[in-house]
Amino acid sequence: MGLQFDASPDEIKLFLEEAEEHLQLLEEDLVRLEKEKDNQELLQAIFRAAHTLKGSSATLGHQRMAQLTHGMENILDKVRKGQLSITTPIMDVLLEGLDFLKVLKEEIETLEESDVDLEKILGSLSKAAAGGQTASSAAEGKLATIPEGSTAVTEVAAAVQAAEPAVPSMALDWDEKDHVTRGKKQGKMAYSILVNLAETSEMLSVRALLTLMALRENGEIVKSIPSSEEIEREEATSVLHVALISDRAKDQIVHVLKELPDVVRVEAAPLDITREEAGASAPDGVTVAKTTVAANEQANAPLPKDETPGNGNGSAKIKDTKIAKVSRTVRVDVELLDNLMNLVGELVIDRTRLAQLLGALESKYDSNDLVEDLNRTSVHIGRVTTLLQEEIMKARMLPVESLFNKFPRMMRDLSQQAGKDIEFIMEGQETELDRSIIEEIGDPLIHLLRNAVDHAIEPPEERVAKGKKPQGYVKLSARHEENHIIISVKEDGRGIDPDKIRASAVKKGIITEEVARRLNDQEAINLIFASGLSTAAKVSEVSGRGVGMDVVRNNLEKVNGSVEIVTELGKGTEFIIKLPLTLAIIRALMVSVDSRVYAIPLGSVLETIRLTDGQIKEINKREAIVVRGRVLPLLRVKELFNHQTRGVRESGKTFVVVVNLGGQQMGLVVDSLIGEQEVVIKTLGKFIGDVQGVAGATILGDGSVALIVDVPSLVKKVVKVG
Amino acid sequence: MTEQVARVEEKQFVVFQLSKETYGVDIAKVWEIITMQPITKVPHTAEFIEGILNLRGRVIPVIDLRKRFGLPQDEFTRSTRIVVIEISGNTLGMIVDGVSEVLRISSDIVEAPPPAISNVDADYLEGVAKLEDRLIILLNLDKVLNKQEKIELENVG
Amino acid sequence: MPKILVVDDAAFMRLRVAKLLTENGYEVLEAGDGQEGVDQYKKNKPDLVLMDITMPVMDGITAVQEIKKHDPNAVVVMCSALGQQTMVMNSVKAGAKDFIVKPYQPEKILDTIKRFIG
Repeated sequence: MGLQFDASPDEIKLFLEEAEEHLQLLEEDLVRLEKEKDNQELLQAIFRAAHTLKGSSATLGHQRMAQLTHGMENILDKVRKGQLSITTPIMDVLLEGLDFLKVLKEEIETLEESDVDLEKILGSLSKAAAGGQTASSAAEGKLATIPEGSTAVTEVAAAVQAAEPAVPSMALDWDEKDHVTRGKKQGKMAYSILVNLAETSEMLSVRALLTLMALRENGEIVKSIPSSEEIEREEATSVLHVALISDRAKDQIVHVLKELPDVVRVEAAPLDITREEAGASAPDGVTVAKTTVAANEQANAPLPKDETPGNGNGSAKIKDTKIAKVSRTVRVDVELLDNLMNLVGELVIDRTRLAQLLGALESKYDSNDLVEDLNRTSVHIGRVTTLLQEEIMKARMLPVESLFNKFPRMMRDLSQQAGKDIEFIMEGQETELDRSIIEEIGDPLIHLLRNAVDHAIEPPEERVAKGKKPQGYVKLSARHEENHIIISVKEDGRGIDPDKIRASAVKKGIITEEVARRLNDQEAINLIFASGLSTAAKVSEVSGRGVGMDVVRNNLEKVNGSVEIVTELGKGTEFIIKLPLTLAIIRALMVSVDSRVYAIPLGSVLETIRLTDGQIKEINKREAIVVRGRVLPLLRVKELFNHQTRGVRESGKTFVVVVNLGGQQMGLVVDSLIGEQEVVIKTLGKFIGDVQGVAGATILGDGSVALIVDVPSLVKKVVKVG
Repeated sequence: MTEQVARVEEKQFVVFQLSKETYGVDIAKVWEIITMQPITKVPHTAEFIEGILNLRGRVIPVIDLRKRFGLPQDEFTRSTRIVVIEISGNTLGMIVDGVSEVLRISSDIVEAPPPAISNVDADYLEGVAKLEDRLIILLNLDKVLNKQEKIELENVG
Repeated sequence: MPKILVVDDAAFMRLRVAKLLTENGYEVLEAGDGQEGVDQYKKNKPDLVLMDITMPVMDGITAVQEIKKHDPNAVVVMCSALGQQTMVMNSVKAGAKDFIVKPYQPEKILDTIKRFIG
């Protein structure tokens, strides 16, 4: 069933963006609140998020979302007023409500109504809210007076109607009468004015106050029933009776009053004190009973802890400043950033070209003023380009927090489901990564964290039996290291047993017994990443790691990242993920093979070796060399890339570039090393598509195009063939 | 011939030579025409994909139309040109023997290609324009760039 | 063209109101919290302010106080949800001239504005 909202597409888009922010904030903060129950600022921020979401969804027209949010807001309101405290069941129901909110938000995204049933959750929410004590009996007292009050109001209304169209008399005391007399002496008129406000008026007391204020602008108020104090205490009724001194004509005043919103009826008559005196003893003294019209408010009666002015401002509250920072940002389409990035890439290429041309010019026109000038300008352009590049890269960077923030909730749920007691710590959320990389590492991280909870951490009894604390710990941390970001998932669970992996790999036909025996422990452990290693059935037996480790490594390699395992049987495991700072521009080692230039991302390069004659041996039917006592298999780039040159280059220098991926080391044979430089990665385009071993292309300073080597897929290719 | 042609359309075509035959492509799809330049080979791609080149900072793929159509190979000469086309967001260069002109061709002289008109598979052809002195074979660029066939080609080849 | 300053921390709400007002011939200024609202008021002297109550950094009530301090004649209309009568009352006492309840009816906003600045 399709949904329609009275809003334009860009309004809906904005709503969704903000709703997303609010929902994320709610999730993060609710989980945090469970641990920091007394954090008032946190509570305020949570309440505000729910409140704003309620208002926006109501305005958009999504009634169910407004309703659901209202239910949650209710609970939060009571909590911040001290009428309810955060318990696990209450937190559970709030988080459940949040999940439903996410579904409702999806409805807006797809404009399709889901068949989710909100009855239960709404019921649970109101039950949870009702579970609180109303702090002050005053509230109850006030509520209890409503029936009394309403009768009184009806009495007044009846009395007013029963009375003549003329305004009923008002009892004035001596001071008030004096006031009137003085005013008359000054030539002013005295009026008795009756104003009926609409019963349906939202915020009746405020309307009453505004009406009084309008009257004050047109004269002096001698007396009003209810009094202004009563009105300010939110004890107004829909009837306002005022004695006014004014030099304005009666009709003028009535006109002004009738213009006010929610004013249904205005009656004004000259105030005759003598009559009032007589009226004081009249039986039908229409004194409006003091009542509380608290119908609209839900225990929002003037309790001491009520919202006071200045709530939320003042002392620097960290969360508030953070939100303030967010509102001082500009929303930029990711596409725009990508375009900017491309343009910067072009500049980088030209900058290199410029430097080259200048070099050529300089050697031709040695110390020519013009050339000097050009040189200076070029240097400046170079500097500015570098700065621009850095700024744009920064604009594309997002703190990993945006990715990490959903994990606390996930870990809480997973631990509960698995029956494990786990302390989940996050560190370094402010560390920044290029946004496209963040997109890619989400799934791998979820896999790793899931596995930590499901398989690595032992159930409390088992841990105690092993002499460990019953509570396991999982730590997700991110930090900046030179040109990389290191993300680590560390836990104190079972650890990985290399023997079990060897056995499983052999059993599954991934490697032979012989090979298994020759692998050292670290290599055996790295087999985890081979596809087909674990099946759901054998999960805990093998290594405590489930399906998906090959996916983890794949995704990471897609963004030029790598993953390493450090583990100790019985003690725990750490997965160390290394990621480049940015995708589009990387530092590469330029090499030449048969006069063709290739760029090898430095992140993949371990070292370079200059070969001496005869160093290449044949080992196990493959070319290899021996480096520091270990065999390094070789790959000839010209073969990998089908150069089809005639004859093999026997003499002359040869170099080997040692590359590493996921623990396997290989040597790439090239003719020469040109140097290191930054290259802008350009894709091969949709027409050519993916080419194994090639990550893309780059335009060199001289305008020629060089291929960028994709080491991961190179190595994979070879393993398959081998 | 049987249908009532609503109106006669005139389109402009870029006319080029390929293995002694004359071809035309819709000018709306032609981005520019450049002289032959160094092309970087890309491994593990179909035969007719010559490689990639640098077009003012953009990396674009280049195909050799002779190879694409299975025509006999020849050396590149000074007249060899690369016709850069753009279709549904894809930019691509096609190596041709030479580009001669831009012609206005009206639809009333275009006929469906008879099966044996060209060495090129009729699938790639949109039609044949019968001019006074010659025949211009109009190419259906979408088909020429169809990747699916490329994959099939790879398998067959 | 009369200038209206819309102060609300939800960009979505601001957008809605801004569209409505612009379509009806008003120039719209926006602010995302009370402090920004005060700053904008001082800088641009709008003819009327639509002020949300619940906002971070500086709430609506405080903002009204600040604006009134700066300009006693400022016309500020509070926008709030139904359950916030006390806060609206305090805003009125601090100098707000009227209030509108959210979710609002477009006619309500327009009528209110017309009443104050014609």
